[in-house]
Amino acid sequence: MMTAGFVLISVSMGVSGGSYSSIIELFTRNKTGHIQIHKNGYLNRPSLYNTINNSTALMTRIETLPHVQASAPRIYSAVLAFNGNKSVGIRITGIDPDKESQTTRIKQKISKGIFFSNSADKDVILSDALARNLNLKVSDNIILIGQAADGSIANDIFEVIGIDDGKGATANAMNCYMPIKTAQDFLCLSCRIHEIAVALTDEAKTRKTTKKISQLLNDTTLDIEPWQVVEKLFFKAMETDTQGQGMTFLILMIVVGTGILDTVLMTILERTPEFGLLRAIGTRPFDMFKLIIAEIACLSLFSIFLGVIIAFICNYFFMKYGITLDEPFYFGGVYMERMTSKISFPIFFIPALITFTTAILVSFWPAYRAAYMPPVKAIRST
Amino acid sequence: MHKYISLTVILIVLIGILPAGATPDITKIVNHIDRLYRSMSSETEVEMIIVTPNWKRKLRMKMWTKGLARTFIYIISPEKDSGIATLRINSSMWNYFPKINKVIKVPPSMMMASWMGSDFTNDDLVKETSLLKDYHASFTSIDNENPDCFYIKLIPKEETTTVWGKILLVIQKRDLMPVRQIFFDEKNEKVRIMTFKNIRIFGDRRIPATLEISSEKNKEKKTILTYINAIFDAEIDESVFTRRNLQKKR
Repeated sequence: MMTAGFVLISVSMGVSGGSYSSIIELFTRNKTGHIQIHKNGYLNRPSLYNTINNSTALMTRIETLPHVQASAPRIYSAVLAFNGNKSVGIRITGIDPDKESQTTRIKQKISKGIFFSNSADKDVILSDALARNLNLKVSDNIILIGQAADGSIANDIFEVIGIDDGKGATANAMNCYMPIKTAQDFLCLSCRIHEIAVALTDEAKTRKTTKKISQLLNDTTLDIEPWQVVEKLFFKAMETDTQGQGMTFLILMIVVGTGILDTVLMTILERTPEFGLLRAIGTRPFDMFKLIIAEIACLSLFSIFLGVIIAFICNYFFMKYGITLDEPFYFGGVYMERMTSKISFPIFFIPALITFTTAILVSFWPAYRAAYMPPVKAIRST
Repeated sequence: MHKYISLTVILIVLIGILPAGATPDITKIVNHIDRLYRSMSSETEVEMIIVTPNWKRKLRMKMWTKGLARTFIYIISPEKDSGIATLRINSSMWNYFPKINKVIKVPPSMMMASWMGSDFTNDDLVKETSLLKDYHASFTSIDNENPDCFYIKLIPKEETTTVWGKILLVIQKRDLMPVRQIFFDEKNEKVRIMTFKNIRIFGDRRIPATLEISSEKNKEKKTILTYINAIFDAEIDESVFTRRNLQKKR
């Protein structure tokens, strides 16, 4: 029973943690990166003119820090896209093809066509939603009209060379990607950019690395924010959901605790006559009490050992193969198709602590009762 | 030679408007301002400098007008914008972008939007508003006024469609040249100022060749429009004001 309780809590925690890790991974690897750098105020009020002018030098410095995997410059602007008589408002994102593919998974997300090869070409990659909306396919032309940074009207024809898979964090988004040089020419931004996205080797180091970047750059005109601030709505939704899951775990722990109590009671009460006999031949009550507690401790430790093995196998299986969902669910702008587990120290330590503590706590009363019951009464009890 | 012509024009205007010892005729003054840049037709070349906190841009363009209803503009430089054209017929307006070979009709909701990033709105280009016909004019006075100028308050008539609550017109008494036009919104707050400078003679017409529009809300933003060449009452073919001409490669 104790082993079953341990495995239940461990697998629940593993799958829950794994699913959140997958969502964060999707979010950061598909869209935001782990850290973003903007000019002051851009994040709250994006403006074509609020730009970073020395991005190459900044990125070179950032990439010297530990845990920084890569960094990529980006440009954003809202424009009107046309195909024939159809038009729609979209967002163009200028990316450095080489740097962006080291920072996010954009290259792997191309489901039709190819990724950018020459960064000076007038090529674009569309999100699946945009391609469907304007009825565009690979090799078609798309017309873009918008406001350029010099006040002129940016207008040009681009060739669609790829379409993304329409999954993950960019699902439903009307996005059009183009090489950063092309975007800078189109929007008359010369070498200016709006955003630097930084990818880390370990998501857990996000806040620490954000501080390190701030200290390294020491530039008060820049906002350096972790993904939790960049995507604060998503992060809040995730935190609220985590709190809800905390309640679920509490209920689960009570159920498991009740099961352990039942096991302990059975173990002690069934052997009350034997304990009475031990008392009758001279065992002191406190030694009796210690003996019962030690036995329960050994029993729970063995259950935990067994539980760790079984829970590791289960979590490893779910981590490797996951649980494929019939219908993908949408959470905070991300489509989840598979729930996976994540093996970490807390998913074994917390259930172990709960199992051991519960077993010891619930055995106090029956152990005390058995230890201090008069031997004659104990022997006669059935 | 031009000086004598212009002097004669001023004298004729002044004799007509300001008979000796008489009270100035406000109708005639406003009518004079109304007709200053207007003619049956015109062919002009203008330079537009747009200054904003974020960018500065210089456009050179050719403009044709016929009556109050038709206007055709195309941009000569910079090269990036060369060939972009605007056609207005009555209250309809189209922009043509040669790079994408596309004509885009300016919808009514965009009429108050900026034209080519300038302080001129699409509505400014389309407007057929006459200061004389569409506004009630009266002399007014302001603090620290210049005694050499007339100050005329223009309040829109009830049936006039406009965004302005009031216009204050400042005109030089000696030659009736406009000095400033100050636009107020319905809350009587100053919105923009149009300053007239650089008086030049084009043909038989003497006009301020430079118009500078500055925004009261954003002091760092202004548009300076300068007439380089202007022929008033020129012979202009009807085909200029057609969609075919709008899309012609230049």
